[in-house]
Amino acid sequence: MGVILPSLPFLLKGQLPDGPLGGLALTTYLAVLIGFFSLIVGMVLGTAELAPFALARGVARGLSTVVRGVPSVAFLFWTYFLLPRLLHVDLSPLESATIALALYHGAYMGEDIRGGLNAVSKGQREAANALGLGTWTTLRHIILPQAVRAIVPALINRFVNLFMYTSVVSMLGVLDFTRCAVLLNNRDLLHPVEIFGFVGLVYFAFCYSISRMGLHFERKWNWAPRIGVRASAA
Amino acid sequence: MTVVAFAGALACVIGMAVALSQVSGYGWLQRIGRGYVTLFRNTPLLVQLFFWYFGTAMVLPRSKYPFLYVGSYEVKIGVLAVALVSGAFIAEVLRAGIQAVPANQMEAAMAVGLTWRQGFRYVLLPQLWPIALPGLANEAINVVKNSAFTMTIGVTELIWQAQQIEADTFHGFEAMTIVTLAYLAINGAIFACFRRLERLAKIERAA
Repeated sequence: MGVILPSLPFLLKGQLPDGPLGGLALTTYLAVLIGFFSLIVGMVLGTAELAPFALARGVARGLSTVVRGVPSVAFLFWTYFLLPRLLHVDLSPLESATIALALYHGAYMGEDIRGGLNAVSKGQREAANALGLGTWTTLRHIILPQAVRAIVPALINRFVNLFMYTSVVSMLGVLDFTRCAVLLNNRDLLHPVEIFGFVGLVYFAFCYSISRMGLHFERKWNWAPRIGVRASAA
Repeated sequence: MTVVAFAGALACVIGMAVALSQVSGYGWLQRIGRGYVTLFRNTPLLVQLFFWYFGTAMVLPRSKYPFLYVGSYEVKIGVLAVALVSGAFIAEVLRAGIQAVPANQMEAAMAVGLTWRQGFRYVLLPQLWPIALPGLANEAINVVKNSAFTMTIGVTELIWQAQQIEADTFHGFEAMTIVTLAYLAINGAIFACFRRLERLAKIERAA
């Protein structure tokens, strides 16, 4: 512990007063930021499944299959080294990492959303149509309330994964939690077990608590669909 | 690619062992398995790579344990870390699969006089495969993708090579395109294999 305590501020917030934000704070910030953008990407890709044109469905599926077949590191290098040259734009490591990981995890989230939407049986939609409900009303009141029970726990689990894998940004030199630990270890050289053990445990604490939350929702919602008037409190 | 092959094999062994420990019924064994799965599913692979890479060198120094450093030390650590992480995920897939098979199937197998081993082989496994295969396909693909992280500790895998070509020749686009396509091809092949296995498993079950 003797190694970690003096460097704790560095691990937690990087060089904050004198430099950019870093450390655990940056990791958390990145996770929230990437989580937000990947949710948008995921929603677009996932709801494309409901699109009436086969082309839109095919493109969305193809795109997410390709993205999910490539390591996130490869993706990261594409957006960091090659995309700026192709498009002649200047991206900071932080920006390109955010773009890459938002697209990458977005593809996975799209898959979770697609799975959730497909889990609602087709009969539900047909029945809604038969009752004369419009597309929007069907989606809002019939499909989504049922799909959400499958989607939310899956998305929370995805977020755990996303949180862990924000550590890949350290490969671009972004001073996130992992990178700070590596720098600390390079300076210290004698206590790698303590340093990486500590960092691992902190990641674990974060991820474990988030996944417990997912489990909670999963248990809470894991009953057979109750449709129509809510049954008595029992 | 050696990393993928060895890590994949080792991960399967770990995953199977841990999954079995989870359903074994021994409290302490279950708890150890549970703890392992929880711990390794919730820590980033990158941190683990560094932990094992620097930690092993510190605790088991080269001067005392030279045999650890024969050949490529980086590759060994890479295999170990990837296998430990993927093993935890595979264990979870298999455990879920085993528990999805109704318990009375095994009870019935015992009741008609099969031994535990026979029950496992002829009753449980055929029902387990169709449930677990899609999850296992995902994990296989994850092993391939996770192996890319081993470049951080100096394993000269595909992306590392691409970076090297970029540095030497400035043909980064070509190199990276080929590497990306290679990953897609490998993962596509894995996916296709598992598709076929899934179909076989279903046929076997129907027969």
